Amino acid sequence: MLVVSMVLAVRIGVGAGWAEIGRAAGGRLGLPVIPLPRLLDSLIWDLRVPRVLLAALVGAALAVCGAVLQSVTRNSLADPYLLGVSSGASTGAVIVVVLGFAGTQLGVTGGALVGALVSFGLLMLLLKRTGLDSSRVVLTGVVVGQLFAALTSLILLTSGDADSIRAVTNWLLGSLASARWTSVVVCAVVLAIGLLVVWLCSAALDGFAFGTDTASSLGVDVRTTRVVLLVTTSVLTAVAVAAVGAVGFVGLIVPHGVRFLVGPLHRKLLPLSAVVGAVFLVWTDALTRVVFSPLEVPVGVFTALLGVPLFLLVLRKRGEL
Amino acid sequence: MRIEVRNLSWGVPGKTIVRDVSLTVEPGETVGLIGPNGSGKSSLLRCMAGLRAPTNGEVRFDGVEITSWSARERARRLAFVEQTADTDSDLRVAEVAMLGRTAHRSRWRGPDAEDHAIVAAELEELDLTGLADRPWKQLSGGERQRTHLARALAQRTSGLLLDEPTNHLDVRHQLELMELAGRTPQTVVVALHDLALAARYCDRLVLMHGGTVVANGQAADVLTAPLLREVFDVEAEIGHDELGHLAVGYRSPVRREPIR
Repeated sequence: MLVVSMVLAVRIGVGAGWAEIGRAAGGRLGLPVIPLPRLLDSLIWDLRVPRVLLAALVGAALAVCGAVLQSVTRNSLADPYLLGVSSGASTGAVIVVVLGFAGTQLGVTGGALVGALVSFGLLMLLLKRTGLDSSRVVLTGVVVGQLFAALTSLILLTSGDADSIRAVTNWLLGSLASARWTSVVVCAVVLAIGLLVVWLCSAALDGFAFGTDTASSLGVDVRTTRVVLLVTTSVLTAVAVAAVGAVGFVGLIVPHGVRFLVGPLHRKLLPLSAVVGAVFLVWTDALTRVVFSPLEVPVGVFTALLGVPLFLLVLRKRGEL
Repeated sequence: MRIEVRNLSWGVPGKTIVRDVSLTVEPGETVGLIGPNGSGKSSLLRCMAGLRAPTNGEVRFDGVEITSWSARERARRLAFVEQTADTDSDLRVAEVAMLGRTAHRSRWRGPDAEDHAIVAAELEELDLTGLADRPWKQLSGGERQRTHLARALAQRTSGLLLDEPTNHLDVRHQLELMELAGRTPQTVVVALHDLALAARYCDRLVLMHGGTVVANGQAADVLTAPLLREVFDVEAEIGHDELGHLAVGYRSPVRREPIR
């Protein structure tokens, strides 16, 4: 299903039929096909294909982060975007861009990573007294997110020129338009490692369901596992944000849907969230290209439009609205 | 497993909750921990379960200090059931019981046939087989309590610590649970509010008050009118019911300490 979605998404909005896509793919594979005109070939191979791949990778990463954060904080509303991690990553990335080290993908990713870890550290510091087991997690996360959003605006307005402000703003909303092969490779490697790490913590994540004392008495090393999981989700979020900006609500929507299908056990929940997250973002991105064509609406705007009603639904189900 | 608590103290900043407790539980023994609310029973159990680091003193299982074990090694030797462990998650009864196998399997694999057989046996033991597929949210308080106990038994440990496991249980399930605690070869320490139930099923009672142990011995020696007056601030009559079990009757309190 993921493969089919990706192939379909490559075609959507490219202005080329199946034959052209076949020829582009065939050419790359060294098959004896009539080569495409260089421009169209480049359009498909250097813009569209990495864009779809990146959508899949980022969707998978964000969905997995959401599933993990929801279990670690025991809060069904946790999501890298709502907890302010995405905002922190944005601030880090913007600082790197403004300081002029934007030349390399690794520079931006590094900046985003530091930003993500700093915002997560701040969140944990603020929650130290009350513990992770409360609705305060999301409230505090929103506060942290606002702080970093304000910092980002401040940095942009004081040190950016008009063009870079426009570019960065578009990116901050979460846009896949600038996808290139380098970010695809970085994302793929980090996602593969991150997914393996959190999947190996499946049993521990299941154990967190009844709180830290029960988890610990089940044989989970609570402190170490928490640090490993939180750092891994921070890294995954940072890489996703560095690649496409802050796309919100994927981590909220997808795990809820998947839990509904396969139940809450993480051995199944995590890999399936990755797949569904990938499909979800590939399709949302394809929609943003088609619905407002020829205008490009950042994909983050779309995921928020879908995510906010779901957020309200979860709140209502919990009896807090 | 022999459990030894030596000069154990624990507290939060500004308040000592468990004060210099020493206690030995022999292998296979079932010891009842009794005392009023706030007497330190739960805190002592948490220290014994390795969930809180004592500010002073130590806990040893078969001579080994428990802090030398990893959480995983500890969970294979000792199971603990909290008083109230709730979740928003939609886990099913059998899945919760399967959590008890966490420390017995590698990170790389899921539950195998042996794990499933053990969980099935413990669900049967606790009269939960028919509820195996029921989600947590649809369980009554007593069913949740029994599910946690099935989970703890599935850990297949030699020690078992239970914090008021009979709360929310109806009379029949209270009796069944306490019979189970009494007959397992496991070393059991169980905090209880019901003094008659404690007297009937425990080999020995430990009475706590203000964070210290004030009496430790056979039920008849611990449940005496003067001790109950001192610790619980009630006038009690100790006798036997028609079945020959120890029974505790209380007179209406004439005066009440203001609730702190």
